[in-house]
Amino acid sequence: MTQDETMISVRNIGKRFGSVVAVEDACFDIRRGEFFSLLGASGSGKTTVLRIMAGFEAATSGAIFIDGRQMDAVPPHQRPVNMVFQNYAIFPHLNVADNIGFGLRKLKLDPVERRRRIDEMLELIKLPGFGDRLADQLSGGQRQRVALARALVLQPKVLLLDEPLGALDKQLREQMQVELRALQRSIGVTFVLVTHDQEEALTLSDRIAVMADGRVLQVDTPAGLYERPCSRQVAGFVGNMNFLPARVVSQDGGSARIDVPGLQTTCSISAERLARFGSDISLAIRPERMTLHRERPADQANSVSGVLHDRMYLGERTQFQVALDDRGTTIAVSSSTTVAERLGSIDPGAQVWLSWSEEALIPLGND
Amino acid sequence: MSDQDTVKRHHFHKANRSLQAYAFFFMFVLYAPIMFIPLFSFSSGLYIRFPIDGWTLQWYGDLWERTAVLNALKNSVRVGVSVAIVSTILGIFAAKALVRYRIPGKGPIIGFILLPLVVPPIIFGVALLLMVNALGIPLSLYTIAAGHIIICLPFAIATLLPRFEGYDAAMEEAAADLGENSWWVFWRVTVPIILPGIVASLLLTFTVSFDEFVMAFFLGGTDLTLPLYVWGQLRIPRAFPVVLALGTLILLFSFLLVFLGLRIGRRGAIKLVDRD
Repeated sequence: MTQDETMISVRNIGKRFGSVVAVEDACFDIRRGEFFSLLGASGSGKTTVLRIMAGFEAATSGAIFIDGRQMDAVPPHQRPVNMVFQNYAIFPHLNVADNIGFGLRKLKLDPVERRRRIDEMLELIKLPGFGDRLADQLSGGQRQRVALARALVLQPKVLLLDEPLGALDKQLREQMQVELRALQRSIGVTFVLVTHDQEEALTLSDRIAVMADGRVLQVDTPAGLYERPCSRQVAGFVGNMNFLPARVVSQDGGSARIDVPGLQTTCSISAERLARFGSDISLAIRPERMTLHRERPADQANSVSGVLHDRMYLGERTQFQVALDDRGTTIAVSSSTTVAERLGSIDPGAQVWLSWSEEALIPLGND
Repeated sequence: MSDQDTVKRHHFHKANRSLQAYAFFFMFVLYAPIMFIPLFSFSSGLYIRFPIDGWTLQWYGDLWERTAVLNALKNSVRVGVSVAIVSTILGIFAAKALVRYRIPGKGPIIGFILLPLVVPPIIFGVALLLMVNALGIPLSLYTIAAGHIIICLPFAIATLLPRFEGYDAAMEEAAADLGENSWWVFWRVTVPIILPGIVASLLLTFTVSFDEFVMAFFLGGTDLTLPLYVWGQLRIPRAFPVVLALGTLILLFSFLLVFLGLRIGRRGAIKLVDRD
């Protein structure tokens, strides 16, 4: 990546609060114009990283560069970033127009130009004519938009968003996700989003950094995280995953074969990956990467039989719990409800077969 | 359904007559003695006795002819206004620091700050008098004001603390994020949001200073504040009705200020709650 493509460079950032380590050795780059998410459970350090970018916290170690410039000594009010706060922090004593225009004071615009920029923003967030409303006359979704407009009117290089959709109900949240994505595409500003909601991160982001216990576990595209998780922790955090015991059986040159007793199969792994995991490994497979059959499938190498335990109707999808013949391991299989209906009704306790393609098997270290 | 059931069902909604009577009696005992002051300020006789000799506004007229009264009033207002401003400014700093920063031993510190509310003013009065004498500072309106600031500071902090607690620190961060340094953040965000608290604090501290006697008695020089003047007049029977007229006016004024202060403080608090 050349310097020009990088908007934010996080270099070995660490943060301690007393004896508590909030962030440890975080290291990644955010590209210009990218929608980047920091995903993690509460206490994973994601918000601390965002606050270090905004300048509200100082890193204990490491450095942060925004657009090529080192930021450590730059106070929040001089950084080329703006933030949408978790509870929006709309100023209660100002109306919508003055909230949006708050940051324009320093530009010393004439009143007409100031008014024009505010109206332009109200247009952008689809709240034209709302300029005179006070904060307590706005709904949650409207406040969120005002907070967005207030930050974007200053044309920042980076927009930081701290769980901006967390306070909204499910339907509104999904609608705002679509709008947020469209907005980012149209204005092309680099967005950095903090969220604990993996679905939100997958839907919105170009790339995601998964964090846990103050560490960055993996930085990848949504598909990359989902299909090629680098650790068991990431695999378990993003989407649903089955984990099965596995062991290395043979190793020659560039690759090794591992045996998965539960699935009565073997699969290959590159020696390089194996070296990273060590010999203590397990096998991961997504529930939707397996197909359920009533009859034994033709491809016998990549199939196994089991007993149906439970069937859960989840609306769009149907999930099956299947107890494998081997040592009673239970595995989750998910298929679209349309496909599941074609199988007809299967009683719990009936014998079923599972099949998969070899690419669906993901060997992972046990951390 | 029997009558008894009906009574039971409405038990909590029904006005309790004996409780009402008690409440009225309580208010009467509390305020009736005070009401003697305005009542007898309109009496034409020199002495407090029933039946009232006759009605007059003479004492109120006399009030304005006594320059000593007007001087004392002017002194009290001067002390009161400066005390209100100084203690409110100090209160803003203290309340903001207490709410915004992680201070070890915050609880004891708050307790220590609020101590003057429970320590008798006579203790502070004597202590300050000793100190002022030891330092060789002449007694004047300034020493009175210094004493009053000690008494008023807890009122200012107690009024301002809830205002700072009532709003999200992210407001100030948002202002900084939008390009303002801490000076402008304070004026454009902090002050407007806590303004009702500032006004309430100014009114309350002024009232406390304006009515205060004990500290003024110990720390006062030749310039008298209004309470000191009133106390001086009590020994002269002929002056007494005029003191009653003056007392009535002070009573009215204090009541208005406190009422206004509480009303502004409360309205702000309700607004903050509604917003959540």
